[in-house]
Amino acid sequence: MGFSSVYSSTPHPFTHPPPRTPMPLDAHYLQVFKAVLTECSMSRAALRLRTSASNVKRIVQALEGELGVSLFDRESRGNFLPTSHAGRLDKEMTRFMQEMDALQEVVSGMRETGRMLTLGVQPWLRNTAYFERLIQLLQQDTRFRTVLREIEPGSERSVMESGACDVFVGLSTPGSKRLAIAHLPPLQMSLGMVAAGPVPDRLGALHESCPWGLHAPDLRGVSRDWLQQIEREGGGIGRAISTVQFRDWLADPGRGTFRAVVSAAPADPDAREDIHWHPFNVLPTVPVRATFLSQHPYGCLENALQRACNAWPTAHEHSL
Amino acid sequence: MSIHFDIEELKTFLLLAGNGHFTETAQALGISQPAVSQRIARLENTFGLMLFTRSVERAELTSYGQKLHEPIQRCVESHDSMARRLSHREAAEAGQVRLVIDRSAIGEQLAATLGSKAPAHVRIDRMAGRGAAGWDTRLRNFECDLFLGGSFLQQPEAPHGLTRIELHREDGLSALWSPDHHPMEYEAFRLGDVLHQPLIVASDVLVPGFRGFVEDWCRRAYGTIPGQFLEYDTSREVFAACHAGIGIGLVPGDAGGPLHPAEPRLRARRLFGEVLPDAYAFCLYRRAGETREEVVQTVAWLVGNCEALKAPNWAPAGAGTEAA
Repeated sequence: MGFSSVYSSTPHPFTHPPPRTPMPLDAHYLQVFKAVLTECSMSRAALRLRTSASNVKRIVQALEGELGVSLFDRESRGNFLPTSHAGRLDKEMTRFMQEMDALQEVVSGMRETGRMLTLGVQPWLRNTAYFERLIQLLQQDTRFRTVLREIEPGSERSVMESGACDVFVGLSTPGSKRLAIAHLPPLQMSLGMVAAGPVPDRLGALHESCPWGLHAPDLRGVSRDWLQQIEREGGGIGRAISTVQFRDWLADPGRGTFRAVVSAAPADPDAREDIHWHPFNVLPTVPVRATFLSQHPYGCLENALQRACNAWPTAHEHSL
Repeated sequence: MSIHFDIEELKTFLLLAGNGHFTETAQALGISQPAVSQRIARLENTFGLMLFTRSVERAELTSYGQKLHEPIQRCVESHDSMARRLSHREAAEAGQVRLVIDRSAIGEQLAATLGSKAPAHVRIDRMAGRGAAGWDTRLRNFECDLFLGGSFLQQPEAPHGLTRIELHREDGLSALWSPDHHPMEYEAFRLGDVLHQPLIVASDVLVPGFRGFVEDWCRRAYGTIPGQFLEYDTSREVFAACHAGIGIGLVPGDAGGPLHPAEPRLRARRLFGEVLPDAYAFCLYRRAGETREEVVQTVAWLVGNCEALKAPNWAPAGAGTEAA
C-alpha cells in the first residue's frame, strides 16, 4: 500500500481552519478615528484632516466593520458621541500611535539635517575644474550633504540602478529606462602646454606643440573624430591618452613625451608652474549630463541640479 | 498634520531587511516580487529617503535604512500587539474560548471525542504545522486560550507565564513497524538492530524534546547515530510512513495501548518502560492568572472529560470499529 493512499484513507476529524487574517487597522484609519473622537463631528474632523466628510464617514464605517463593533452614536445636530468601544480602541491604539509619531520624527530629523546626495563620477572627470565647480554649487544647497563616489567606467549602470549613487555626472549616460537625464552646462576643453607660448587659435597650430595628447576617456568616439580632424587641419598626429598617463604627465611633464595635452582643465591648474592651461575654444564644447533614477525618493533632484546650473558662472568657462 | 505610514509597507521593509531578497520576501508575504518592489519604492518615496541598495542578488539597507530599522520594528510590534489585543477582545466579548489540540495520537482521539461534546462557545483548532508560532507563544499572545498537548521528558516548570495541568502520563516509547515490509517478530525486536534503517520520529513540533532524546539515546546506548531521521509533524503521518514501510517508527508513550489504537496493521513494541517511567506527559496549558470566567469553566470541563484518559478501559468513539 502506497504512502499517499494510506494517508488519504484516514481523513482528519477536523479540517484546520484557515489562519485568521490579522486586522489591518490602518494607521490612517486610526488617525481619522482619533480626529472624529476629539472633534465629535465628522465634518469638523474632515476639515481638520483636509478631506471630505463622506471620506471620513467611509473610513469610520470600515473601521467599525473591521472591529465588528460600533464606535460612535449619532446625536442630534450631527454630533457623534463615542461608544465604550471607541474609548477602548482609543486606549489600545495609544502606544502604536506614539511609535508612529516617533518614526515620523526620526524621518523628519533625517530630512531636516540634510539628506546625503552621493554624486558619482568617473575618476578622470573628478579632478577637473568643471566638476569642482559643480560640487561647490551643489554644496550650497542646504537640502543635501553632497558626497563623492568614484565610479569605474562600465559600472555606471549597475551602480545607478542599485541606488548606491544618487546622481551620475558624465559625458556619456548609462543607458537605462529607469534613469532620467538632466543637462548640465557644457564642458569646454582646455590645452595644457609645457612651453609658454601663444595659444593655438586654430587646430592646425597645434603642430607647434607636437607631440601632443588628447585626454577624454569618456568620449572615445568623439576623441577619435577630433584626432582625425586635427590631423586633417595640419595639427600633427596626436594620441588619445589614458587617465594614468595623464596623471603621470601632470606629475612630471618633463619626463613624458608630450609637450601639450588637450583635456578638461584640472581642478587646480596652477599646481605646477611648468604647465600652462588655456581654454581651447577651437574645439566644440561637450554636453555634460546628470542621470538619476526617475523614481528617486528625493523627488527634488532635478530641481537641485537646475539650481546649480542657474548659478553657473556664464562669463567664462574656465577659472584660469 | 503628521503623515502616517502604511503598516504593510513597514512589514515588508522588515522582512526584506531581514532576508535581503525580494523573491524570498514575496514568497513570505504571498505576493509577487514586483509588488514587493513597489511597496518598498512607495515607502522610500513617503520617507523621501533611499532605504535599500539593490543589486541583482541582494537588497541591503542604506545607512538611513539601518537607522530606521529599530523605530519601524517598534511600530510594527506595537501594531501587532494592538491587533492581537483587539481581536482577543472581540473573541472574549463573543464569549468564545479557543482551544488548540496537538496532533499526537492522543490529541487526535481527544479532538474527535471533544469535538462532538464541546459547548458551542468552545472553538477547537488543531495545532498548526511547521512554521507556525509555537503554542506557548500563541497562548501568551492571546491567539488561543487553552492548549492540550504532549511533551517528552518535560521541564519541571511550565513555560513562562503559563500554568500546566497534567492529564495523563505514559512510560517510555514505542517502536512501530509494518509486518509487510519488516518481517520482525515482536519478541525478537531490538532497537539496536534496526538503527541502520531510517527512523521515523515525532518532530519537535509534534512532541517537544522527543527527537533530540532519540538521537542522544542511540549515541549513548548503542554508540551510533542512526543513518537517517525522518521527522513528521503529525502522528497520522508517522503511522502512514510506518505503514508504507519507509522505516521504523518511534513514538513516545504506549502506541499499542488502548489509547492509541494507532493502526491495527502495525506491530508495536514497548521500549524502556522501566528506565523512563512517565516520560510522556499530556497536559492542558492556560495562561497564568487567567480571569475570564468562560476559560476557567472550560478548564474544569476539560479536566472532567479527560479523567477518562486515566481509566484503563477508556475507549473513544469510533475506536471499536477501528479495532475490529
